[in-house]
Amino acid sequence: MKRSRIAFALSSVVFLVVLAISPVKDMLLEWKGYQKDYNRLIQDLPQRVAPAEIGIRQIWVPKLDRVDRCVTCHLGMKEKALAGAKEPFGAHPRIDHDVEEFGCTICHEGQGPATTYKESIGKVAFWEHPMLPREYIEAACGKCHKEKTVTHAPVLSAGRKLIEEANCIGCHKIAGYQRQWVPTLNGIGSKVNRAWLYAWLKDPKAYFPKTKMANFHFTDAEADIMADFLMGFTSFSDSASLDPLPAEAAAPTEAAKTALEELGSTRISEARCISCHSINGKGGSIATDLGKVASKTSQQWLYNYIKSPKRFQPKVLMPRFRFSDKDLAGVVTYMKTEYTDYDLAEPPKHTPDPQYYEKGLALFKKYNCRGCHELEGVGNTGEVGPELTFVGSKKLYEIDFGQSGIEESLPSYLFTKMTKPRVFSSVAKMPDFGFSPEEARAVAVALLGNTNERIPEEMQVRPKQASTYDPQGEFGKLVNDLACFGCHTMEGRGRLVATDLTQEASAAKRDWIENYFKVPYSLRPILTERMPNFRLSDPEIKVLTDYMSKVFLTDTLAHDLSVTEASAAKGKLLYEERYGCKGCHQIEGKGGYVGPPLDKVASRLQSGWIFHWLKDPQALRPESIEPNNKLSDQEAEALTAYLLTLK
Amino acid sequence: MKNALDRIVRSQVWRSIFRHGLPDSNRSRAETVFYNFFLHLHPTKVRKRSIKFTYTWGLGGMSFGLFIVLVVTGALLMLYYRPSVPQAYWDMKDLQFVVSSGTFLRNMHRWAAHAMVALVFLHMLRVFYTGSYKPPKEFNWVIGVVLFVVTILLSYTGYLLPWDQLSFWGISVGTNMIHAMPFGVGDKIAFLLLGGNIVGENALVRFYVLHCFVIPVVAIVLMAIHFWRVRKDGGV
Amino acid sequence: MILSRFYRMLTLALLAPLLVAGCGRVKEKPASLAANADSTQHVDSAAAAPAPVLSYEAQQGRNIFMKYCAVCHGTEGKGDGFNAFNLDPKPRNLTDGAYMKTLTDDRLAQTIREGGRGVNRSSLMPSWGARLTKNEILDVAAFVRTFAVDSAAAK
Repeated sequence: MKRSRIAFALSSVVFLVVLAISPVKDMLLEWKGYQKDYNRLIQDLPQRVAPAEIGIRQIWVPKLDRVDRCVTCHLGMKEKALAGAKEPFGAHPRIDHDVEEFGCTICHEGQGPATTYKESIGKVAFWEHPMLPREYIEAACGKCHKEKTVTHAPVLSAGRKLIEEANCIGCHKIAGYQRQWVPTLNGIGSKVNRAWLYAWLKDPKAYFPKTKMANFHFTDAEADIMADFLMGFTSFSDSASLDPLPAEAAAPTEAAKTALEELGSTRISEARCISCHSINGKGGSIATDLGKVASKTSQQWLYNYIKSPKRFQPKVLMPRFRFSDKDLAGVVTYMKTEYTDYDLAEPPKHTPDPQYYEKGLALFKKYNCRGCHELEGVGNTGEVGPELTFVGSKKLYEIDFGQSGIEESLPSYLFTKMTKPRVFSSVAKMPDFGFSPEEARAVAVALLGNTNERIPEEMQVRPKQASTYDPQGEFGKLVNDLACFGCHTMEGRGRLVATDLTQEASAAKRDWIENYFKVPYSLRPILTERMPNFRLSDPEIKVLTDYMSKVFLTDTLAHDLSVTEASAAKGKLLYEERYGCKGCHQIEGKGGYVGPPLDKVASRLQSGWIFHWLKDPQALRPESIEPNNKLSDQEAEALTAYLLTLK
Repeated sequence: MKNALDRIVRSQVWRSIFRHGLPDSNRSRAETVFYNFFLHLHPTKVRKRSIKFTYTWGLGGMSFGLFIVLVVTGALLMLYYRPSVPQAYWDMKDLQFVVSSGTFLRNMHRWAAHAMVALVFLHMLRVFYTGSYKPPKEFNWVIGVVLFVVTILLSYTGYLLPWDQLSFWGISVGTNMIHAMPFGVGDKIAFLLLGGNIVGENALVRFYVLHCFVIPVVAIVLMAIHFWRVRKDGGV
Repeated sequence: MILSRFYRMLTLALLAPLLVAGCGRVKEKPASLAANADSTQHVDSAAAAPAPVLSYEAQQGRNIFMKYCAVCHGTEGKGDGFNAFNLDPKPRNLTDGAYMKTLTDDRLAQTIREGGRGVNRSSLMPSWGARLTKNEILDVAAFVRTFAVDSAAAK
């Protein structure tokens, strides 16, 4: 009896102890320790910082369905005095979003409701969104910001640009990207020679380092089959055919050949080919390298192509220069002499596989060449890769890491996929785009931002609707023929290599525009891409300027003012002394190089444009780096008056 | 001290609750057992053999003890839990991260539930091996078996409530098994149980009501009969 | 009151071993914290690390600096941008630690905001207050500060 009483008493005590474990653990919670640490830390600061009351804090964001308790320990988020303090107490970097409004995990991911370090990082069972590593943080911007270029998110913007340029949508479905122009393969057998094609298929970047074409890592046998297969396609789109070289190209004597070469050299520099094309790496970056082009194709093809590019590549953004046959003969002769690659290795002799067509077609389909390149007679194979519109929400259990041995997380998977596309599986078909680590990370960041998270409509930033501007008539034909959209933007369509022409008639005077077409020059000496001389005829120039002066006009920009000597003198003072305009602009050889020289600005620009430009340059051209000096109307008018005296 | 105790025992309130004095004769002992609600369960006599601990191993009593623990912790958990699809899982997270001793409560409820299933099963084995199901106690065996099923059902309905992947698919698989019953009966039962054709908000609410009200009430009624029978048959 | 103190005493007495265990856990926390700080926190002083990682603000500031400022101040802040040789006075050499030290943060931001004429310097330095937001100016200032730190570390 007594023994059982002792046992009973003992077990009661043990029971009590066991029951007390839980409240004691509550007293010693991790976050309480941090809060006490914080209160100790701020006592040593010179500035006064309010101490933290012991208790759990949270940010509740109902519209994003998030409860973030990170602020329980990250107590110094808004205290400037704690910038650079040890974590978790450091101040948050200055960003454009209020933490109270957006919470933490919408950007950083991780487990918001958690109150311990390990759980909040989120690399735990039963949590699917661990914290984004710092170098991938801009992925979160992409969840709401769907516009192409996101201010303050350079990595994300670069990634989106790379995805678009690499034409990922050839094989993957991804919402929000535009298909790129890729050369058609129709007639490739009549365009290139087999040795070049073989070398190109083996390693495109060896020929043109900046090419968007990826390396498919063909074996020698596969490259042979593909080369044989492609060389069989000798007829061009729309049954275009090659004209024979003109009689002028025949140079019977050495002297005649030299004369032709000199003519060609002059025409090539006048046409400013290197604004778009590079020659062995030097020059523009929007078109292919020409340094070895004579080893790639025949003189005959070059002659025909330069004569009328769109006959062979219907949507190419290469302008048609108004060269005479003699000019062209000179150009191709020059190119033959200068742009030949004497090191191009002959591919090893081979006998074509008797089944090269079937095997080539199979390879062509397997690697979905049709995803980018058009080829008559081969149907569209569609997207062969997985859809990537929501790839940022991919769950870890859906990913096959294979034998790669990398860290098992979505960012590291996507990064590795970009650098070594076939490392996860031996049957993977994705080609190697040759991304540098920075580029691969940028692409991974852009992809990680493609989530299926539900974001309220009012919090999303959508891209602008693609412009449907498509000029018709004579002007439209000329715009197409000269590939103006390749460099200029008009009404929201086109590239921004050069000026946006949408308001050009409000900006520049008609006479000046006409003269510019005749003798284009670069307004800014520092630019590398320059307007080429198309050698337009007078009627063509009239068509262009007529259209521009009617359509590319904004009435609100008109601003007439009378130039008096007094106002011009006042403007001159403002120009030279107060606003330091000469820091960037030149007048009579004195001043900076950043902006265009203003010597004859009065014969170039409209007075209204000058006035409004001075008031707010970015309102007219958002990409301009001219400072906005917040001029008063009087000041702007005085400056305009001064500039109008510079004829 | 003794005076005060005496005064309390003699007071009107005390005597209205306990209508008899301390049992000092056979008669008053019998009266005590008959008139006291808590004691009326007791049999008039108990065999010495059945008092021996190794005969019963106290398995039934322990199961009942765990049931009490489950009721208490369950009631506390109900304070923090909302049976709705957007909230249920977050309430689990809140229990883990914010509620004082919340993890302790949940673990207690969970482990007690596991233990109860195990103990009830062991109890059934014990009854089988000691032959305690034999006449005249066969009806109580039947009630016991029903109680075992009720215990399993309690455990199963509670499985859905955390609303995580494990519970969602657990219930999906379980209810799909019901569909296998012939003559369309299974389909009807599964529809009734889920309040629809998929495991969704309706299923969650139904399982919540079953888990917290319907099945516990059935269990309590059956337990009352079970215990009363046990005692009247001379068991402990 | 007495009861609660009693309870507390009792609990404490009974839970002494547990408390010890608990303290052990508290002690190991700063270690893991420090490890965490190393990997995620930006480095405060350039002297501590060979290649200083720019703070978030400075990274943002760098992008703006390269677009608007580098033409005169140079990509490395030495005042040797391609446009500099036209200018008199020359653009400030931002790597000059001795001079930069004399500039307060407010003054630096003011110079960017109001330009040279705002702080009685050459008007060749334009004002950026209307072009850049307040935060962008602070970002640029934060980046400009990293030039002088670099040169100090190099010496």
